[in-house]
Amino acid sequence: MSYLLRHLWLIALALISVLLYLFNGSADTLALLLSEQSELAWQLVMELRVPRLLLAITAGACLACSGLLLQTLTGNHLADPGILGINQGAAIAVLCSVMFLPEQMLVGQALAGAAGSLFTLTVIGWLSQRLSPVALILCGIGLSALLSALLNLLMLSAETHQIGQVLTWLSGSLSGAYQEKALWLLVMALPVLILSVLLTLHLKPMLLDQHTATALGLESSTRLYCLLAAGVLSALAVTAVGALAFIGLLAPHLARFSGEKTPAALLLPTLLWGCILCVLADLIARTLFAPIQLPFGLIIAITGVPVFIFLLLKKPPAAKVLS
Amino acid sequence: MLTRPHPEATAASGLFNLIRQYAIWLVLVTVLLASVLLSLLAGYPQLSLADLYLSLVSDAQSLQQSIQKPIQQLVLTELRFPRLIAGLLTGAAMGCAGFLLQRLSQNPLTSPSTLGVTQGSALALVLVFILGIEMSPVMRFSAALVGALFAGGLLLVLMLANRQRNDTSTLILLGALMASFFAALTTSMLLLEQHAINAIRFWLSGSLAFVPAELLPVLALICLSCFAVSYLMLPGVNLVTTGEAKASSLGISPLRVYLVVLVLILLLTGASVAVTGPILFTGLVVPHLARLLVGVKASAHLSASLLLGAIMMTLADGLTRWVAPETSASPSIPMAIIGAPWFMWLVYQRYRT
Repeated sequence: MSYLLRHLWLIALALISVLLYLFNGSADTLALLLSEQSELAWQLVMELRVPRLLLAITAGACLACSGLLLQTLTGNHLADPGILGINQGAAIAVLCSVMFLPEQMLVGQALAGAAGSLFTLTVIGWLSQRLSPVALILCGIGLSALLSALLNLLMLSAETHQIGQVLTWLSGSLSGAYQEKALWLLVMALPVLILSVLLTLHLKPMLLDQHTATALGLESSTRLYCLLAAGVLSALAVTAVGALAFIGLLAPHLARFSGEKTPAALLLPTLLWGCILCVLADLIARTLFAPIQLPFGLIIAITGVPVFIFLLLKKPPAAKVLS
Repeated sequence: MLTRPHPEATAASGLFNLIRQYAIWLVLVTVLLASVLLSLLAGYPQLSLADLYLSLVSDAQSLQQSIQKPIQQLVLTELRFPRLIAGLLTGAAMGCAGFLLQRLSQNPLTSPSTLGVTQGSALALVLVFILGIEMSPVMRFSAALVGALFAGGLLLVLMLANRQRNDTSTLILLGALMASFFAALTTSMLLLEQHAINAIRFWLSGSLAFVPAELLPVLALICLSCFAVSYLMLPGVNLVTTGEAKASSLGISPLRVYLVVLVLILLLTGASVAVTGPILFTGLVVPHLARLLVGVKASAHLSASLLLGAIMMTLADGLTRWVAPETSASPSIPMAIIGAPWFMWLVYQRYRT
């Protein structure tokens, strides 16, 4: 119980962001609610904003959880499904499926995204046992370069509006969120999230190095399930929302500021921070240049990168982290 | 000699090694000449050697006679020669930048196109378009160069702010972060102003087309001076990679070497990207391949990187125009087709157990 009390401020922050999100935007909903047109306002809120909010929260939670799992597993605080190239692998697979399967089949794209993500994850997981953290990041950079090359190829032949759509999707966007999609993501992600909660309870030995962890009883099957969970979570998020980066990187970092150390204790703050980041980013993305809606992944990148660079340069243990 | 010579080390094998060393250079130069020819002749008007000869010979004559040159010679002088020179210079520049970066970080997986310089260029170009400034080729080059230098300068400042100044892993990470940052800004602007997509899509795919001849002296100045300084910095780079303590004790300031080399890398990459747009993988593949061909000795490695870079760029450009002459396909495509599997093979080969 004291655990929840310690993080009460974060829960409150999350609730405040949700309320801000629901009642802000291109229509002044609060005023409408209090006036006679409350029917219209409720409809606006329920049909447009709630699915979007649900999608944002779920995607944020998925990516944050995936980032925490990856950071714990690789022992590297810079791990993130975007930086490691997992999101790029999923994005390449989904792009290929979009190019060759022209119908708007969410299931087909989801399968492609999952396949791409899991394939990349297997490779990264295999490599992470042999590579230094820097080399892992280099692989992720290489995959990003590959994605850029593919994108440039696409750019040469496609129409302008198609390019706009692809760019939007690649940056991580909630436009076109509808109820079925949000519910789909929630239903698919919830079991994996629960599984991750159960798994993180076992991950405390990972705070030490790998050999000690194994000696303390952490089985390699647990590690494998964690890796799979991380991959599936990021694949789900990428399929639903696009190739978001930095949430899996930033959310655990921000969660560590609350003073928790073990992965199990870090899970709640991480999930909350993931939700808060996504919700606030989408709020800004929707309202900054209204009526044009920017993809919220861009806002996360633009605000997240300076924050992360600041964190990186400030911490003296950066040497230990990167060596 | 304190040890017995190896039973197979005869004078003949020594001679063979010597010939083999020089043969590699000979092969490189021959391949370079072949790619030069390919680049000059291939393309939409498919030209022949006779046209080339006539163009070189009759240049002087027609200046005096002021007759109208046949179209082939115009194509050669106005389009192909500048394109060739730009390709040689930018290819060599990327090869040199890649060599310096890989030497400094001691890691063949690093590439200068991922330091954020390319994305800074793209951002500057989109900004210039949105501000409504006229986009002449010279303006485009200047804007891209300013963007590249800005991104590079920012990276330099951040590296200076870093506690551990000689840390190449931080450099790589910061470069990747800056690249994401500038790319996010660029994408935001492209989505807010969708007309800009059309203006910039051709540049973004990377191409040697439409390089105006006025830019070539500037490009040559930047590239050649950077090459010269690179050669001068080689002893410093060698010492710095053996460790900070050793380098300091031998009188070389590691920080100064590091900063100068970083400036060289950023300048070379910036100039190259400003002319051609982002052509990835050159700086990744070339130094590694050069090391496989000529060995680890720094000056040989650098020279081979320069040659190979020029070859790769010219060859990619020429091949693209030979295979698909009527499209505007860019040399990035063969580069990516070679470079991406190469990168994956490198990772596998280096890190398999």
